[in-house]
Amino acid sequence: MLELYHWAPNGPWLKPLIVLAEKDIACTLRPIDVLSFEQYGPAMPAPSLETRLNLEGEGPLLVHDGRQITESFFMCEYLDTAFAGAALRPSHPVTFNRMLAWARFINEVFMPGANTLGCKQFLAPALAGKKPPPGSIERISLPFVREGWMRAYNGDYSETLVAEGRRKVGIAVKRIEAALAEGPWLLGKDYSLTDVDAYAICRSLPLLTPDLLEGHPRSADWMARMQERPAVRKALAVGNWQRPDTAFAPGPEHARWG
Amino acid sequence: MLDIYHWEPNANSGKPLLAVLEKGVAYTSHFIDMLAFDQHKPEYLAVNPNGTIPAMVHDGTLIQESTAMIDYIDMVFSGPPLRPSDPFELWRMRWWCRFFDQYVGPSASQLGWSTFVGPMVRQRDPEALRAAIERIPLQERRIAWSKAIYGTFSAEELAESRARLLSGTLAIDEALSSRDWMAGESCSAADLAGFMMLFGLPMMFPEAANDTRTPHFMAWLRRVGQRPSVQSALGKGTGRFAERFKQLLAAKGA
Repeated sequence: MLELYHWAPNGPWLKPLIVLAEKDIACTLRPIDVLSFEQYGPAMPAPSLETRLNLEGEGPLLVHDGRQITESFFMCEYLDTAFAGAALRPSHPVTFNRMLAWARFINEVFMPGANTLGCKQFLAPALAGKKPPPGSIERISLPFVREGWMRAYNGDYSETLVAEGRRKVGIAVKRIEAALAEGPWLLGKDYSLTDVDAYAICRSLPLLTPDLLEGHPRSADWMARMQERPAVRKALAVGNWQRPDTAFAPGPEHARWG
Repeated sequence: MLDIYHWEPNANSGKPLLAVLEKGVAYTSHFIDMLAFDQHKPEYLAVNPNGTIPAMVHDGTLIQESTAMIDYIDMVFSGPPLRPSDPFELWRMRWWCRFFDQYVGPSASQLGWSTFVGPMVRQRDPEALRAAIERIPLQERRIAWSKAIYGTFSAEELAESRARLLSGTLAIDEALSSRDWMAGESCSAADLAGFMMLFGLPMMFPEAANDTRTPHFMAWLRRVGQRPSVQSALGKGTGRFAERFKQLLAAKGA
């Protein structure tokens, strides 16, 4: 039995939905309303140690025969390793190394950068004037995730934080453009989990940082090709969201060394 | 032909070293003196334009990212596997590598820098230091190095690091209360990476890691520490890291 607890098809939630569709894996989808803190409520299985320590911030939970799998990129690697279908991990060790390097960069730099901007632009206005439901924040074990929620409730995004988010998105856009010079995909000739990983975060950039996307034709072409993939279309249609690209909740923390 | 460019067998530099020692892979060691900023000198930038250590060159191809280097070594060379074959245990290995590398590791190194390395480096000529920072190719690394060198960590940041290490060591201890290794049935990349990030913690921050508070964590550090690979990397040295390693093993059963 395979179950995916997920929110809108955007960011971390979009990644496993794409991989499930790419590999045609049968999975019971269990939508969760993250803004109502259902991910910490009785709808969920009792969390394992790793699930409790949600390093990714808010993100999907995969349950496979009772075993819990978190962290969207590693969840995708798990799906690719544990299930048949076209392999989305490169077999060449050098390319595999690049995939892992991208995963770290996306998780430590790109995701926190884009997430900060997305929470400011979409989550904070949605929560304006509201208070967290009683007991909800206290149930979150990692302090930076609690702080992420309170920052959104208070609309407390300093100029420094926003500039930091934009700086990191800018680095990511440039890195993607450079990688696609050898394209057509981020790791070269083959489509891979790295495309899924980066695209899931890139999808909101036209809303968050349109100016930073300008002058990057290869990235624009890659985004369009991603969008056309049947698996991506299928994933984006999950839940009939009007604008899934506006769905944000506190994500991974900004790396402390910059 | 495998060349590894590394500093002391501590934190990131130690990871590829343990991986090749575990698998018995022949390699050429290139010691890069991080505190002399060797990693930003032209000779090294010719090898790794990013100016980060460790780095590895295998048959002419540059391989980066210390934890991912363990995967690379495991994929390319024969010898005992360093990653579980079961997909769930592999996931668990990834999860703990991320916990070590991104969650507790940076806090441990922040403590190390603020108490030891930072003050030592700051004794050098200020102009030379500033020039050294200017030469760092990656902006992220320039920020990190100036934080490290000038000790611009706020009291709040250091308190957060300590709090994180206090809770992080309890989480690791909880994980190890029901198994010997972080993932799978034998020593994997998660054990090697975790050990390298944290073996100095019982000496550096004994309130967080000691035999009473975190017995499973301590037993695991010593279990990994007894491995021939770790003995070979750390057992013969005389420097600060070898000294910490000796203290860790000497405290056994104390």
